[in-house]
Amino acid sequence: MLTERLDEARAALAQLDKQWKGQVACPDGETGGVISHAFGNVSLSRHIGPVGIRSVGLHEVVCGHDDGPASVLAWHLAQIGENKCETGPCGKSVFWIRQRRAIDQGRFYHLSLPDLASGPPPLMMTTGQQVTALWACEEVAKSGQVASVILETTDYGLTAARRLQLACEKAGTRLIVLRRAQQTNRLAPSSALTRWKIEPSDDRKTNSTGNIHHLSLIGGRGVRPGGWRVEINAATFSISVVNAMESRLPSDRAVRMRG
Amino acid sequence: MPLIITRVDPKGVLVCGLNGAAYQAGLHGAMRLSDARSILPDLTNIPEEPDRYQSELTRLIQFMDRYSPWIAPDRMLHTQSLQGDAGLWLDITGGSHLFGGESAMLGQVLRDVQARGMHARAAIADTAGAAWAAARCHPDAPDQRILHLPRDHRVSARFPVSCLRLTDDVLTLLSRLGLKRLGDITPLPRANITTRLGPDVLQRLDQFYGRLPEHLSFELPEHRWLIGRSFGEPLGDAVTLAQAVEAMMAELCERLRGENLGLRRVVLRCIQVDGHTHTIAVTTGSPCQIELHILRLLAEKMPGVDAGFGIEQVVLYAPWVEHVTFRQVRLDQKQDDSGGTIALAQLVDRITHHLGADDSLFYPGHHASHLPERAAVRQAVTGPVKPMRLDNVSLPRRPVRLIDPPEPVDILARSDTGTPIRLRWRKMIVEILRAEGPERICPEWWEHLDRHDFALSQQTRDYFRVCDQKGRMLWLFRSGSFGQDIWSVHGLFGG
Repeated sequence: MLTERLDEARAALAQLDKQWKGQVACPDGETGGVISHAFGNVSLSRHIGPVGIRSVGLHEVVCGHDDGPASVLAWHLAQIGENKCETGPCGKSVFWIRQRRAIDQGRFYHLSLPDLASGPPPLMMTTGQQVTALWACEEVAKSGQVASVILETTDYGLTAARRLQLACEKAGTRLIVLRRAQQTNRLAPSSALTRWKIEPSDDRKTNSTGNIHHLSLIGGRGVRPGGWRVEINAATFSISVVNAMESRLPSDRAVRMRG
Repeated sequence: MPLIITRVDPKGVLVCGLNGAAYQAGLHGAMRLSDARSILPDLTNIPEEPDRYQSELTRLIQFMDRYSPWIAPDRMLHTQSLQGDAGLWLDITGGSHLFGGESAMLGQVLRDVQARGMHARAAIADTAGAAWAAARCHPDAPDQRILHLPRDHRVSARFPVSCLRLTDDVLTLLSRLGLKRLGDITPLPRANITTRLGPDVLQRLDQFYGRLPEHLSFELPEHRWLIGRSFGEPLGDAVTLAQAVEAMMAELCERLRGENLGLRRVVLRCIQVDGHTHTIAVTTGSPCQIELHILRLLAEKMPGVDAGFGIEQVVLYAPWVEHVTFRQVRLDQKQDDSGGTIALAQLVDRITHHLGADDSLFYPGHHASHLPERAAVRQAVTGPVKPMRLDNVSLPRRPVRLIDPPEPVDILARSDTGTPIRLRWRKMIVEILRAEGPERICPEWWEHLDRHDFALSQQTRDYFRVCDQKGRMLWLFRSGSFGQDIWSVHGLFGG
């Protein structure tokens, strides 16, 4: 009897350990997938829970005064974990939808991406209308034919956000919305699972190479807001945590959350 | 040798066709045979054979199918006219570019008809009535008779009123009133035209200028991928129309599956009882046999179809079909990716059909150019996709976001080497802490062979990666000559 209980306890412990390391699907997510170790440091797990964040669904990246790192973060979030099947690349790519003039600091330049020789190239769409961008985003998310969708758009309503979230859950698609905060530094309500913000570090001593940034988790469902100092590797388009900052940054307090 | 064809009529035996020799001798259509013989006693006379005429007409329509599937013969003139002026209407909407443009297509039609031993007049216009008139009255050369209204309004104003296809009585009345050309009628008040000349004149005039539709009875050619349905009771609502289209599409796809073919383009034409015609064209990125997918694409455009007084004829036509690549199901029960490929192609079709003229869907590509804005190109989503990066081209570090066109900045202060240390960009002061560079990018001289070397040197760019006081990494470049250099921001790096 005691041996059986010990075996059960060991199995439960092993299962917990796997969940902690992000190797198994999230139990509460139907489609599974976790990004708890997305940035290569366990310090994030204190803020996003032991089993990580459900990768399937709507995530937001709020652009600060620099859209370059925000684009890298969006691409990084879109690429985590999903593009590899057991037998190799599963053939699903990223769909990048750009609404013109939604982000005024140029367009995404795909030649900055690392070589994607193993996977299919991303599909890209450019439109002038937000309604077309949202429609295409929902259509792609519902189809389940791409691993991730990145949407550059202006502010959108709570109804649109909820529709996109449901479309993602239906087909197991990850959606990263790249949006700019309003002039009042206030974010419109959204049903996003997580909301991120990344800005370059203005500390001249630590940021001598220009690739140190402040990454902030400014809200979401079941997450604790926090901040990290991260390093962006431009050659691989990857982000890794250098060290954890205070859980609440002064700049994050300025962003008032609603919804 | 003069030759005529005669028809037995209640008025007598009348001439209904003649060759060039007879025409030059002074004979004409509707002339009595006895009158013709008095001019040319040794005239050869052949009685008319309506069945043979009809079979030749059908053959001509089949021949014309190469230009357009929508061919309408002028039935009334073919059966009643004695002047030999019957003709065919070809709806070439959206198809002229396949022959090198309208003018080239017109010349091609004339040459092909002449090669079949016939003499013809042809014209291209915006409406059926205008085309009919231009073919007979346009002053330009036979292969240049193209009438675009209202641009060519002055040309059409000189057309005789007989080009409106009016009855002899009305034409006589117009002649007595001194109204001999279209330009004489158009300035008149519309109410007066109807009151004094009858409704036909105004109706034909409106059809000529496209203000009223003209119902053409298209002769559907015997085509394997064409399905036409005529309804005794016109379809009055969208639901019944959708049901009819669904049944026709299922039949068409079933035929295609039997031949292992797939649709690349399908055209749906709905013809109302009053002559209005709605045409919907749908193109797919890959050969498709799945009727549900095609119907979904059509459904996006179907709300634009107004049933009006009812739709009496629906035609479904596949002008472009291709062989479907045979996909073998894997025997080891592992996941087969062909289903995913088909689903992705269908997704691309749906999005492409929804996009507007200014929207685009593409795969990113790489062009072998040092200029950043030229290096990034777009690839079509249909067809083979090239890699996003060229293997044999090494590329230095590039910004994540490219500002195109580059935005010039105001230089406020410079260092000893001439690089800026403070500048104004978008009304903001940017202090530059560090700068890396330059990376010199020269213009492609082979693109500007007509220019002088000095002119090209003005376009040489020196790129710098600079870090500002907020930690941003900007991509600045300098162009122009020394002392008059222009600095611009061309992008932002991610880190």
